[in-house]
Amino acid sequence: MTSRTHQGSGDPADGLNADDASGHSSPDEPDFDELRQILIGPEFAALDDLTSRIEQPARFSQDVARVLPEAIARRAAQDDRLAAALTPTIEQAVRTSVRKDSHVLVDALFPVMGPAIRKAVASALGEMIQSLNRSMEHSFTVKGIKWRLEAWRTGKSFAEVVLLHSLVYRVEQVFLFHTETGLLLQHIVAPSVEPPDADLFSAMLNAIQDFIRDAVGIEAIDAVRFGDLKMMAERGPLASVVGMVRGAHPKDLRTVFQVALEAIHRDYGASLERFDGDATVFDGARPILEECFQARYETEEKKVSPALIVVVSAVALLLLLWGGYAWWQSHKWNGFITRLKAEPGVVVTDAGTSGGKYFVTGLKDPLAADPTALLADEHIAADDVVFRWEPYHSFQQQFLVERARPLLAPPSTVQLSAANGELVVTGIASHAWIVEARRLVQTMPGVTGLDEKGLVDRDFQDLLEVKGRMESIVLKYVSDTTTLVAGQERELDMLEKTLGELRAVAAKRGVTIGIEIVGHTDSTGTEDTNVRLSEDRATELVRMLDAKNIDTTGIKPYGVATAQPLRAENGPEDAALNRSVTFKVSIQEKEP
Amino acid sequence: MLQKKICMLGASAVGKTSLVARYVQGIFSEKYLTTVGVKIDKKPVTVGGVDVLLMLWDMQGEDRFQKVQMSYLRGAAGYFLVADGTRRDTLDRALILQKEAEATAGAVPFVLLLNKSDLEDEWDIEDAALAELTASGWTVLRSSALSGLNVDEAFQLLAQRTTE
Repeated sequence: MTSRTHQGSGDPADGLNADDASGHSSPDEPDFDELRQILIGPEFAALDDLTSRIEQPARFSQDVARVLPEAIARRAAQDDRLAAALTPTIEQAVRTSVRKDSHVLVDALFPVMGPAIRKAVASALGEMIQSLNRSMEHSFTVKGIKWRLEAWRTGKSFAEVVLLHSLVYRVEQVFLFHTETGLLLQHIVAPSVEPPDADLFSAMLNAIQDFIRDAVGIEAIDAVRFGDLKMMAERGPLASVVGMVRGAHPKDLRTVFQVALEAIHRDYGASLERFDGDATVFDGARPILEECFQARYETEEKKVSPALIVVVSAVALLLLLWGGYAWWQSHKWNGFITRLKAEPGVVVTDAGTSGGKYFVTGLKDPLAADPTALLADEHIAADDVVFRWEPYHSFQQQFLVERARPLLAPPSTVQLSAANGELVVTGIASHAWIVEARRLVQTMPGVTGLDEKGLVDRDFQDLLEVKGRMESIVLKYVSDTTTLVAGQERELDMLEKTLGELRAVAAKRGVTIGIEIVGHTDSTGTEDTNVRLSEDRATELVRMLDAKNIDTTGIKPYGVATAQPLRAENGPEDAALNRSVTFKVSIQEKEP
Repeated sequence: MLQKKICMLGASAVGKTSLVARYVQGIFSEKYLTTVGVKIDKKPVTVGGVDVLLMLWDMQGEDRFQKVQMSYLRGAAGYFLVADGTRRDTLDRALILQKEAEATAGAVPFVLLLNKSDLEDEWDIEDAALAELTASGWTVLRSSALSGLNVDEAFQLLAQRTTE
């Protein structure tokens, strides 16, 4: 029974049990078991626990998870082996991630990619601009021409020659090599520098270092100068940095090299000690070495060539003049266009320049002002402008009047103006003109009517005047007869003349006139007698006129006896005036 | 790419420079040998699918006037001991140099080359001596810078040893 308990408790116990069962099966087994429990019971429990920890994946991974971060940190501090071991896995993981869904990595990298790209682009641009600036600075000088010749002679680019001459100093190459073997670890070269065979260079350099040390007893060479080029060496116990410097460098440049070398020893000490020929481990040291890339160029701000100043000033002046001229031209043109647009009877639809000339397209009333006159005002040559006008009729009031005048041909007594689309006519005109004007106005575009409130019809006025004269004539008769009182020849002449005038004026005015000859008597005598007498007097006058061959058509004689006395009869003088004939003129417009 | 420093050791006029010249197209003039005492060339090889760049340090041969600069051996991944098969004393010299090299560079792989194997008539080294060296674990090859015998093979072999 106890053995079963053990079997259930775990594998190690199980093993022991089995051993017992096969080798030492005895009747004392329960006692032995008990003894064993007493002796190593707690260890069994601990062993059980340990075994289950290792064999149950869930518990085991939990345990590993607890120590994993620290384990990684410790190993990473010790050496680079962990990184080396993980590299393929991480590379594979990245590759898999990209294959599966590239967006994940893209999103993760996005915040750093922009700045990185910007930095790279800015640095590339900066380099180009610097080189360009230097070339520009020297392009117009005598020295610049000499350098150009040199460039042509030596087959180098002009920028390169300028660089060499204007250089104060520049670190052209930096080598990092393994001190013990002389094997090259890293090599970086400044742009536009012809790199040597870096492997051989560093090996040979190392050999020379050794040679000098052995032969002369100096610990290490600091610097070797070859003409303008200087080799600066900084030798460390594990690695050495060598810079090739052109020109006169500042003293603290060596410090820069020392700092870089120290950083490399600090970061790559373990790798340097274990170095087995694989230099790729040191790729990460490049940024440190790049710190050594220092340079300074002459700035010749104070010595700007006079020729350059003259050329630049001349160009600037020309630009200024040209700009000013262009501005003035455009100002003039805009002024002209503004004025042209404000001009009545002109509609500008397009304006600008084409083929070196100005052009204006639009509509123009023939009566509008001549645009070429405006050009002269703005001091623009007429030859420089091409106008393309479509004729049209402007309804502007001033054009209504101007267009109406030649058509209506008003007499000098008539004034024309326009208001609210109507043609306003004032003054005096003949009836015939007025009639023609009314007719013409209807045919005029843009004219809505004729305002003739201020216009006087001269013929009608004449008619009224003649009518008034006619109606003022009084012919007196001898009492109780149809005989005219003697001495009225002047009045008769006037009657004849006025009658003729009346007919002429009426014809001119185009009206029909009616003339009434009204006979009157004084109050003596009977009413019947007076009625007959008054009619006779009127009839007798018509007969007399007929006898004189005066046209009496339309003349209507009749008598009114005492009904319409010329004057109230209060004495013989009044009675004499009432024994008379008077005239009434009526005017009727002709039926159209 | 792996880089390995390989040195050429031997008495003077045993053919070290000729062996290197047979193997690579160098860029440095031989006058370096007499001035600095070493001339370095490089040769890229492939060993077991791995690219290896051999930096070959051809060191001035030792003679009465000039001792080999043993400091040049520091950091070497391997070296050749070169002896002239027609001059027995050069082999003895090589044996001494080996001890000095091991003191400087440590127990790195090396190959003994008995050069000028084309001059069979003048051969001065008995096979027994070689058998003894081979028995003690040395790698010994006959080579000829003139005919090219074993030149590529020797370099390839040492390159392989250094990467093991």
